[in-house]
Amino acid sequence: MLVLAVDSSTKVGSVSLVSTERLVAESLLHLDQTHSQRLMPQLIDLVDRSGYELDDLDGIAVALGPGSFTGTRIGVVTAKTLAQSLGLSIVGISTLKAMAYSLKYTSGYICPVIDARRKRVFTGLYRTSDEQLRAETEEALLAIDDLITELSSVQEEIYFVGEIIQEYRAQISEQIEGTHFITNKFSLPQAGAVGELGIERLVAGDEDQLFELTPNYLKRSQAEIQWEKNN
Amino acid sequence: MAKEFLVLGIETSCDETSVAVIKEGTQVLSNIIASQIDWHRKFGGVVPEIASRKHVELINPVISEALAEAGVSYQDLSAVAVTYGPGLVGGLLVGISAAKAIAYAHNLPLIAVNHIEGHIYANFISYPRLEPPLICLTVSGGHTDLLYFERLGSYQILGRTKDDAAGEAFDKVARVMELGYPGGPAIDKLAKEGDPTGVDLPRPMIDSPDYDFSFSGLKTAVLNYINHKKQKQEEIPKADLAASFQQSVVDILVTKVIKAAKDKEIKTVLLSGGVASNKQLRKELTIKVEELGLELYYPESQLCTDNAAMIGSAAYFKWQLDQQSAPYSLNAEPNLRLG
Repeated sequence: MLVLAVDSSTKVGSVSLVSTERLVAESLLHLDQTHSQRLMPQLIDLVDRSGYELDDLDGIAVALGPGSFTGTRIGVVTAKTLAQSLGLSIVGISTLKAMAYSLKYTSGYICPVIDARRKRVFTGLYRTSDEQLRAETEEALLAIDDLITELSSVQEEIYFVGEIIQEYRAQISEQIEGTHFITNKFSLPQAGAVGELGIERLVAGDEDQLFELTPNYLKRSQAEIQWEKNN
Repeated sequence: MAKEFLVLGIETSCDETSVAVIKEGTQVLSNIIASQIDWHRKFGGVVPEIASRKHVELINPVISEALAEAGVSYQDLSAVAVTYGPGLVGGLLVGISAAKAIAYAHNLPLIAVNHIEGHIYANFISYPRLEPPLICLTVSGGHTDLLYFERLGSYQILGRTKDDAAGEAFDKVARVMELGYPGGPAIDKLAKEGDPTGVDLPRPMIDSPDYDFSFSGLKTAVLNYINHKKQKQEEIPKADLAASFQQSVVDILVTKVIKAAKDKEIKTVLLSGGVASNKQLRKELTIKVEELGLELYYPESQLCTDNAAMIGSAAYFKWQLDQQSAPYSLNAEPNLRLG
């Protein structure tokens, strides 16, 4: 089985080809340039260099966010339309879970964090049991202070993943014991992880319904929030 | 025999998710339009973030429906066309991402289309035999442009709005008059019951020597009139105000079109864009144009709204001229203009 994976839910944009046996190819661009300008050229280049053809693909995996609304939409629409027009299966993967996946073999809690601006983060708590990475909490949009309050009761080691966490490092270390901050490339979402999580689900026959698959925004539009306040 | 040229057109620049299949530039095999208006109505206008989210949900089923209704498969297509501007950036990006994916998956040319040009080519779908030279008035919520076509596919901009687009003025006036959204049809309907001379309103730039337009002063005059009435605690004659406002807009548009038609000595006038559906505009322009022995054309109603058929048609004529495929790095251009 061969899967093409796409993630453009943050400033990091990455694509990968993953087979049941191995990671075949991965490309990651961490730039300010828009995903609209770089995603398709990056994807086409990766497929070309891998020596595979689109006909060789069995499925597509895509990061659903949370993250940048626009960035996520570009990835999700690209992946869905590729799957639709090539007649392929599709699976959507949480960007937070893909970030946690890089630390799958860590004992303790993994806390991936994506910037949601104004001192808020998209986050969730993960840990591995029986070789499976599992979500311990619902993913949510939280004020950083609320996240710290929630985690301060956790007795075990916590590994924070995500670039934005560096901004809150001092505050977190002060208020929570047993914290670790991942600063290497594992702090970035990677399409290789999206692909590996995706192929696991496809092998198990657990694909998503193409027309039903939408980004995981974790936040309503500002207009809806305002409208509800006023009505 | 050469293969028939089939374009899959995609349009997501505002609040309609539309996909069409167009044969040889003017034959509409399908033109699916999923309107999002029900999701935006309570906000009194299009909310960009909601529009973007709806486009993501609607684009793939609409693609399927367009192909199914046309009775064609991906293998039958000759090119994919997409609106890349002007419009709401989030919506445009959904259409562009989908178009690139199809083009790549099936090795097809990707044709980037200016939304305003799409509105113009809507006329060629309704009247395939139209021949230049001609002038075209394009009026909608986002633009008011007067164009001169010496030949197909190439045009000169004679004039455009200096501030608000005509349709934008309709929407804003409808909003302050609490007529609901969209404003154009609401004013058009209410105006029928009113006296177009009931409220004295200005006609900005109507006598200017150029072909440019201005509508923000007119909109302000309506706002001032309403505030004045409210201060005096007088009832606002809504029907008269709607009729008078509409008459001002129509007078300005008709005057400029007729001036251009005379100056350029053309025989054919085209009307395009959402405001081309305005009944008063059509009626008055028809009378004036006939007086001069000219012909007026406007697209059938369905093609006046945002739709992908017009994008497919514009793409076909563009492709005939330059056979230029857009790069896969194509980005949305929300402020794209004609010219």
